[in-house]
Amino acid sequence: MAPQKPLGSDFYLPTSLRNNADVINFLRTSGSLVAGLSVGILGVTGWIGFLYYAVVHALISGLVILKAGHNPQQYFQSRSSLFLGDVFSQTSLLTFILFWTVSHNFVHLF
Amino acid sequence: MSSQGQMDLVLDRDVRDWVLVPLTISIFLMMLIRQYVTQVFLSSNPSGGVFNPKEFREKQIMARAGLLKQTCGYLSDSAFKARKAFFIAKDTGAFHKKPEQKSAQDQLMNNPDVMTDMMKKNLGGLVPQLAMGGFVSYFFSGFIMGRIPFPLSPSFRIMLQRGVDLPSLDVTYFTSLSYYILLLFGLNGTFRLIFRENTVDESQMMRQQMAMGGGGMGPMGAPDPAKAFEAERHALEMLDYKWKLDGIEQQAAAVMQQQLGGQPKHQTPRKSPRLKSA
Amino acid sequence: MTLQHLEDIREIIQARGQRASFEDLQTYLRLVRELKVRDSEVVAEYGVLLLRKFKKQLSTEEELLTTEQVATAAIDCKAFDAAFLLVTALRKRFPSSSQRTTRLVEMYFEAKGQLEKARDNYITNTLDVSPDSQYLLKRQVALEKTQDNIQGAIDLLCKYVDLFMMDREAWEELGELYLQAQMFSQAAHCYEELLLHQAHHIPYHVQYADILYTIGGSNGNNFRTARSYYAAAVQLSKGTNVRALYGLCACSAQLSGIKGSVGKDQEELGRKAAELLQKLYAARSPDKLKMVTELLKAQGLTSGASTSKAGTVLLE
Repeated sequence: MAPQKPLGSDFYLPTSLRNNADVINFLRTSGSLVAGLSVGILGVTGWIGFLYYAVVHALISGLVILKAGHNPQQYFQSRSSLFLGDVFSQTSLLTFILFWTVSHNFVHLF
Repeated sequence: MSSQGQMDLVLDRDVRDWVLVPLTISIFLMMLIRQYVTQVFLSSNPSGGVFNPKEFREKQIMARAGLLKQTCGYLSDSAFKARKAFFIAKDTGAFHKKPEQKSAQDQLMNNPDVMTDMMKKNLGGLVPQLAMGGFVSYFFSGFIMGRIPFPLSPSFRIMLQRGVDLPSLDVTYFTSLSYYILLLFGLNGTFRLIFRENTVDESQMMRQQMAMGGGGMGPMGAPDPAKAFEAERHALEMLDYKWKLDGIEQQAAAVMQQQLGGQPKHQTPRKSPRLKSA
Repeated sequence: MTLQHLEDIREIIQARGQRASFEDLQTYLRLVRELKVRDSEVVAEYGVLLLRKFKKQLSTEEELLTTEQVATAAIDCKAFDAAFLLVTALRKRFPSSSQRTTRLVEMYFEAKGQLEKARDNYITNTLDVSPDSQYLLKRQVALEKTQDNIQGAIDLLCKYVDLFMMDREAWEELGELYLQAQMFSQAAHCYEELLLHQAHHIPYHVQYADILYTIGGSNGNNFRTARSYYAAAVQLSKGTNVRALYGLCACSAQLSGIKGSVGKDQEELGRKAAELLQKLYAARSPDKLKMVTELLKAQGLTSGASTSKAGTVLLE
C-alpha cells in the first residue's frame, strides 16, 4: 500500500478556519489601506504604485508564514489561497486605489 | 505627467476645501448611517415563513447529498453504495422523484408575499443609494475633483468623467459623481475593518443582482429545484469514491510502534488552531 | 464567550450567593443558553433568584427566554414547586397553541411521572396544531423512551429523521435506541450517518466498529471492516484510545480463527495493540495489569514473558 496522508490531516474546525480567514482578510485590507495612504503621501504616480502594493502583500504573506511557524498547512487548507487569495480581490485592491487616490489628491494635486 | 501633450489642469484649492473634503465626509457618514440602519433592520426582522414539510425535506436531502459528497471517504464500500442507492437508484431514488418545491418563478407568481418581501429587500438596498446619488449630484455635480495617480486608457473616460463632457480632458481626471462611486465601492474594505462580519457589502449585493439577471428584479436565491435535483444526481453518479481507511492498519501499527518506543504522549487529533485575531 | 468565561462567572456568583449582582446573573444565564451547557441546579437556583429580584430589568424577550430556561432546569432537577410557578406563568401568557409552552408542560408532567397527562397534552397539541414541530416530535420520542417503549421511540424517531435528515443528534439517539433494541445493522446505518457528519469524532469510529464486530459473521468481512475503524480510531487518537486498542485485540483474535484472512501484518497489529495496552495499564493502573494480561493471553496475543518485560521497562 502506497504511503498516504495520515487520516486526520484534513480535519479542520470550520469556525477556526473562518476565524483565520477573517484575520487574513483583516490584515490584507488594512495593509492595502496603509500602503495606499503612504504611496499617495510619498507622491508616487504611475504603475510603480502597484509595485508597492505587491511588495506590501508579499511582506504580509511572509509575516503570516513567520507567525504560523513555517507550517501554514496547520492553519489553512491551501497554501496558494493564503498567498494569493485576497491579494487580487476586489476589496483590498479597491481600498488601495481609493486611499492612494485620495491621499495623493489631498497632498500633491492642489 | 502631462501625457498626450495635454496641459495639467490647475485645480482651485477651494475645490478641495468645499467639494472634496465635504463630499468625502458626507459619504462616509451616510454609509455609516446606512450600516447602522441595516443592522437594526436585520436584527429586528428575522425572516419567517410557513413551514412546508415536503419542501423542507427536499432541502434536507440536498444538504445530505452534499455531506455525502464531502465525506464519503469515511464510509465502507457497502455503506456508501447503500447511500448512493438511496439518492440515485432508478425509480426509487430520492433524486428521481419530481421535486415538490416550486421553482422560484412559480413561487413569485403564486405568492404575493414573496413578491413584497423581495421588493422590500431590494428597495432597502436601493433607496439609500439613490438618495446618496441624488444628494451628490445635487450639491457637488460638475466639478473636476482630482486625478487618479496612474495612467489609464481612454476607454475609462465614461466611467471616470461622469457628468462632464470634455473629450479633450485627460482621462485620469475624475468628476464628483465618479468619485462618489469609487468611494461607495472602495470604502467597503474599510467598513469591514470596523464592523467585521456585520458589514453590509454593497458590491456583494450588486453581484448577486447581476447574477440573477432580468434587470435586478429576478427572484432571490434558489434556481429551479428540478434542475438542481438533476445536477445533484449526476454529481453523485460521477462521484469518485475512495475509502480513506484503506491501509489504515499500517498507519495504526506505525503509531503504536511510536508509542511503544517513546513515552506515551497525550496528543489530541489535529485541529486547526486559532490565530490570535489581529 | 467560552467555557472558561462561564466557569469564572459561576464562581463569582457562587461566592456572592444571594447577593449576586444583576449583570453577573444575567451573563451567566445567557452564557449557559448560548453554550448549551447543562448545569441545571445552578441555573435553577440563581435563575429563580434573578427572576425574583431583577425581573423588571430584563427585556421582555430575555425575560421569556430566561423563564423557559429556568423552568427547564427546575424540571431537570425535580424542583417541581418552582417549575410549576414558572410553567403556569408562561402558559398564562401563551395559552395552548405555543409549541414551546406545550413542550414545557409536557416535560413537567413527564418528570413528575404523570405520563398520561403528558401524553394527552402533546397529542392534542401536536396532531392538531403543529404536526411538524421539531420540538414536539422530539419530546414525543423522549416520552416513549421514558415509558421504556423502545420500539415506539424508534418508530417515531425514524419518522423524525426522515424529515430532519441533517439533525446529527437525532441520528445519534436513534443509533443508541437501535443498540438497546439489539437491531445492529440498523444501528450501524445510524453510525455511518454520524461518521459522515463528524468524521473527526473518535468515539463514532469506535462505536461503529463495535457494532460491526457485534454483527460478526463467519466470513470475517465485518471483523475486517471493524478492525479498519478501530485502527482509524487508534491513529486519530495517537494510540491513547484504550477501547480501540481492545477492539483491535478482539478483532485479531476473531480473525485468527478464520482461514485465509490473516496476513503477517495483521497479526503484528494485534500484538502491537496488546503490547501498547499493557504498557498503558502498567503506567496508569498497575493493579489491573494482571487482569488485562490474562485476557490478552486468552486471546492468544501475548505470552507471559513479554508482559513482565513491558512492566519492568516502565517501572524503571
